[in-house]
Formats: sequence, structure tokens, C-alpha cells
Amino acid sequence: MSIADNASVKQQEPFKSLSGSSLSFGLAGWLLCLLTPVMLLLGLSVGPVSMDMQQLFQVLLHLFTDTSSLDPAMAGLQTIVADIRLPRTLLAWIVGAGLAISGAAMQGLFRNPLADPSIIGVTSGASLGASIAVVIIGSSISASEQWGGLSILVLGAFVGGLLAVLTVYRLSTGSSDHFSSSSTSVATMLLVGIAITALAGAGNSLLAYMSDNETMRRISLWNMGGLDAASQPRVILAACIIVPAVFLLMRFSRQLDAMLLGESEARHLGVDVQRIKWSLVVIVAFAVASSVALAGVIGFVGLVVPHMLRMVIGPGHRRLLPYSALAGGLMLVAADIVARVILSPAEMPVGVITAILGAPLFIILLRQRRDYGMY
Amino acid sequence: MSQSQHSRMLFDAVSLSRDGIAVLDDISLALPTGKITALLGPNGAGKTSLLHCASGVMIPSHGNVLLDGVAIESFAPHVLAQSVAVLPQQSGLNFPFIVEDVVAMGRFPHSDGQACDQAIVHRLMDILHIRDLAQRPYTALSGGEKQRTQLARVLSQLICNTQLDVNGSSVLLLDEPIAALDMPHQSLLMNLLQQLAAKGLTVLIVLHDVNLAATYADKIALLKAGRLLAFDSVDKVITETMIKQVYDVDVDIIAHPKTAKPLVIREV
Repeated sequence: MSIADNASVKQQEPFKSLSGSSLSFGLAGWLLCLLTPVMLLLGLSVGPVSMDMQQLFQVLLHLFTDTSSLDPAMAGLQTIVADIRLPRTLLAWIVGAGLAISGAAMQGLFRNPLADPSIIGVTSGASLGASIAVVIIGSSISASEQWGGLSILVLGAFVGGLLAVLTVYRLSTGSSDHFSSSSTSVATMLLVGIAITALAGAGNSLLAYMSDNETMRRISLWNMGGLDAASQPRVILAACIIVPAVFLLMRFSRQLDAMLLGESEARHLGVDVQRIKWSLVVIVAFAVASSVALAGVIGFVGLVVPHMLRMVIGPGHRRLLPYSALAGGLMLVAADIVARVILSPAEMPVGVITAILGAPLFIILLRQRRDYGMY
Repeated sequence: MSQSQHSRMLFDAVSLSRDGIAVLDDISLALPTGKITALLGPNGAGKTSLLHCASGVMIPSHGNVLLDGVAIESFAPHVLAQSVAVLPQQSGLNFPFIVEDVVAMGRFPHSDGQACDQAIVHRLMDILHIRDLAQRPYTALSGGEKQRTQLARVLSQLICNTQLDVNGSSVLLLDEPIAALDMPHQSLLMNLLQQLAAKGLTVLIVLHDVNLAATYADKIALLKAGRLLAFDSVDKVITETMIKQVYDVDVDIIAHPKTAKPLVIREV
């Protein structure tokens, strides 16, 4: 049989048939699965108003029922959980999962374990877009918490993030004559990403400089990342954009494994390299742009979580991608609990917590990199 | 199925220029199916570029590379990968995959079931003496061990079963695969290639060792400054005048005492 016949017989794409679907869970996986509900419950119970587990379960049982049947004290707890802590914990979980799996995907795509979702310029672009939206909405803070205001913010972050990514992608895609299909140089992409990040950062600073105190405070709070503005609409938005992105990214495990061999090796293994790059960048852009829109700029989760996991379970993406999502969600929920408790009743921006925890961890990892046998 | 003589891969007047400089100049050759063709030539002759054209990574400025009569760039990557495997000169893998996982990546283009894939992977690791290293991280291997791992990966892409049968239309492109290998493993690899060629595999291999090429190849293509100087059987290509013309070195050629194949020795 000639290869031309073969083409028509084997129509199904072998990469699609096997990827992602069969999750093999090792010890680390079970541990993550076990810790996740514990951390989520902790996220719901910890705060200025304390409640024990029994009260929490009672509240959770009545979460979607009429509160009038409860006594006033329980109804109060019910309101706290339903309106404040549940959206906040869920948002932290989803955003953390999205950031970590995006980081894992970018590290694979760039074949660099030190890459971060912000490397393609999406974080800074989204943050600039959000700042512009904040300036447009003005100081009417309440407006931003309604659906209308929220969607302008999200839209701003989205447009900003996607524009930045498109610029990075466009500038790093050369129209080389000899290479089949215009190829995107990942090294150039990295450098252009740095330039775009600097540019958007400058725009952000300029906006902050020119605006009044209240707007400036909002912009700078945005850049520290925070989950205090979590609300039901935000959680729904996150569930609609970030959750599908997480599941989509998990489908690319084999292609990402092949990419680690090298771009041409991946191509020789049948990976449509150009299409994979494009798909990954777009999915990550959506996930990260919406996480910036909903929770501000939260650093280090996307960088540190996949990096640490790789040291435990190895570089294979079939495990790395889902585990990163689980661990990222776990880490951000934990960081948010710390952010709420440490200055109680006041709060710290969660981005500060992740940076305080993440930076030293990252330095330790860097120092151990030789034992790890990498780069 | 018409086996043997019919050529699966054909270079049809392939030219390639880069920044105005001709890298390949009007190269036409038909790779004989089920044979080993060695590509020889000095540094910078265009050997790797020719391999890039054959694998579809580079598109010729003029001419075509045809696989079964179809231009190579018109194949979808996952279809091409089922028939053409490539071993590049260098590997950029610096993530600590274990050896077995690296070899198993060669099975990505196929979906023949996990048991079949694993059997092929294990068989090739046995043959290339890396079975003991199966659970070691790739990044911790020596140069020769890495090379054997990559070879096993590339071979596993074209082999259908543990009897080492290959699909009749398979083409293997190897860019200096023996550079990092010690002498026994060089022979091991070349013998393995002969065995696979006998089962229908078409091999194009870039070599620097003329004697190795003379011993194991069925045909030799001589490349110099982007031009194909000769493409013929070993006896016709490995001559004192031809070597002088391509490499500009004076050599003596004697017959191998056992195989009677030409043996190149440097003049002192």
C-alpha cells in the first residue's frame, strides 16, 4: 500500500485519540485530589467570622434553599458563605488552576522550564487593558461590581491581553522562504514578549500617573492581584472561560511531549507544529487574560507550580498538565486564606502572598537545578 | 505491490538557495527502495540541507521532492510521520524524560495499541543495548547513550512489530548517526540498517566515514558545493580520482581482504 492510500485510510488523527483521556493517577495525584476538598472547605470556614465544620456543613446543605427556615445566626453565616466566601474560594481555585496549567503549557511550548504564562505578553497587555477600562469607568467603583461594569473590565483585559499576544505572535513569525509554513521562532517570541511587557508596563504607569488618587489606587491594587472583589458573576465568567481552557489544554499532552524533543523532531513525529503553537498561545491568552480581568495580576503560580511538580512526577505532560491544574488551584486557595488571615480583619493582596511564597521557593529551585539534571 | 526497484522517494531537479547563495544546485536522484544510500561530501556540501528537503522541513526553491509521486510538502504532518522518520544531527532535549519514554515517543504517529507499542519499544531498546537504561533520565546519559536512545526512537517510528517488519513505503533519513557511537555500536547500527533495508526500508544516511559507507551502503551519493558529483554503486564511486575530486585529498584504495569492497587509506 502506498503512503497516498495510507492517507485516506488513516483519517483519524492519532494524536487526538490518545491524549488526555486516560489520566493515570500516581501518589501525587491522589494526594492532590485529597487535599483539594480539604483546602476548599478551609477556604469557606476561615475568616473574620469563624465557624466550625458542623456549622459549615449545615450552611452548605442549605446553600440553595430558602434562608427563612434558618435561625438568624445561621442565616448570617449562610449569607457570608454564599455571597462572600464561596465565590471567593471558587474564583481562587479556578484562577489558580488556569494560571498553573497555562504555565505548564508555556514551559512546554518554549522548551524552557522557567517560562511563565506572562511570557507571551498576555498578562501585561490584559493589565493595561483593565487599567484603561478602570479609567473609562472612572471612580464610580460600584459600577464595576455590576454586570455592566464588570464586563467592561473583563472586555478591557481581554482585548488588551489578546492584542498583546497577537503583536508578539505577529512580530515573531518570520516569512522565511525556505521553511515550509511560516515558522514562529520561540526565542524571538520570548524577546518580543519581554518588549511588549515593558511597553504595556509603561502604559500602565502612565495611566496611573495621570489619574486621580482613587483610580490610581485601583490600578495599583489591580496589579497586586486580589480576590476580594470575587462575586457570583465573576465566578460564572471564570467557569465559562477558564474551566474550558483548562480542559482544552489537557488535550495537548502528547504534542507538548513531542515539542520537548525539539521543534523539527516534533514535526517529524507528525505534530502540526505551527498549529499547535497557535492553538496553545490562543487558549493560554484567553485563560490568562480572563484571570487577570477577574483577579488582577497574580504572579508565580504559573511559574512555580509546574516547575515543582516536574521535579516530583517528571516532565511528561499527560500527568503534568492535570496535576498542575489541581496544584495551582490548591496553592491559590491556600494563598488567599493566608491573605485573609494574616492582617485580619484587613486583607493583603493575594498577589503579594504568592510572590512572597513563590520567589524564595523559586530561588531554592534554581539553586538545585543541577541536581535535577536540567539546563 | 510492486516491491524493490521502484523508487519511493525522488529528488526532481532540487535547488535551494539561501540569502542568494545556492546551497543545493539541480539535484536529481531516486532513492532505491529497500537499499541503503550513503550521502558523502565535505563539510558544507549541502548534505543536511538535502535531508531537510527530503523531510519536508525545507521547501526547495526549484524542483520537488516526491514521495510516491506526491510532493512531500503536501502531506499532512501526521500522515508523513507514519512513513518518514528523521534523526537530526543534534538533539535539543534537555528535560529529564526517562529513556523508555523518549523511545516510546516514536510511536506517537501510530495508534496500534499500547501492548504493541511497548513490545516494539522494548525490542529496540534490547537491540541497541539501552534496556538497562530504560528508567534513567535522558539528561543523565552519555553522548553515545543519548544517540542510541534517539536512534531507537526514530526506528520505532517505522517498525510495525517485534519481528522488525517495516511498511514498504517507509523512508529513514539519518544525519550523521554514528558520530557519537563507539566502534561496536557503529557496526551494530549499520548491520541493523542492512537488516531493515532487506525488509523494504529505504535509508538515506549522511556519513563522514568513507570506509563505513563503502562497507555497508548499497549506493553512494557524492555531494560537493551543492552539486551531485556521483550517484552510483560503491565500486564506481569510491575511486582515487573521485575522492581526490570531492575531498581534495590523496588516497590509496585497496580491496578489503575479506569483503573485497574498496578500502580507502590516506596517503602519507
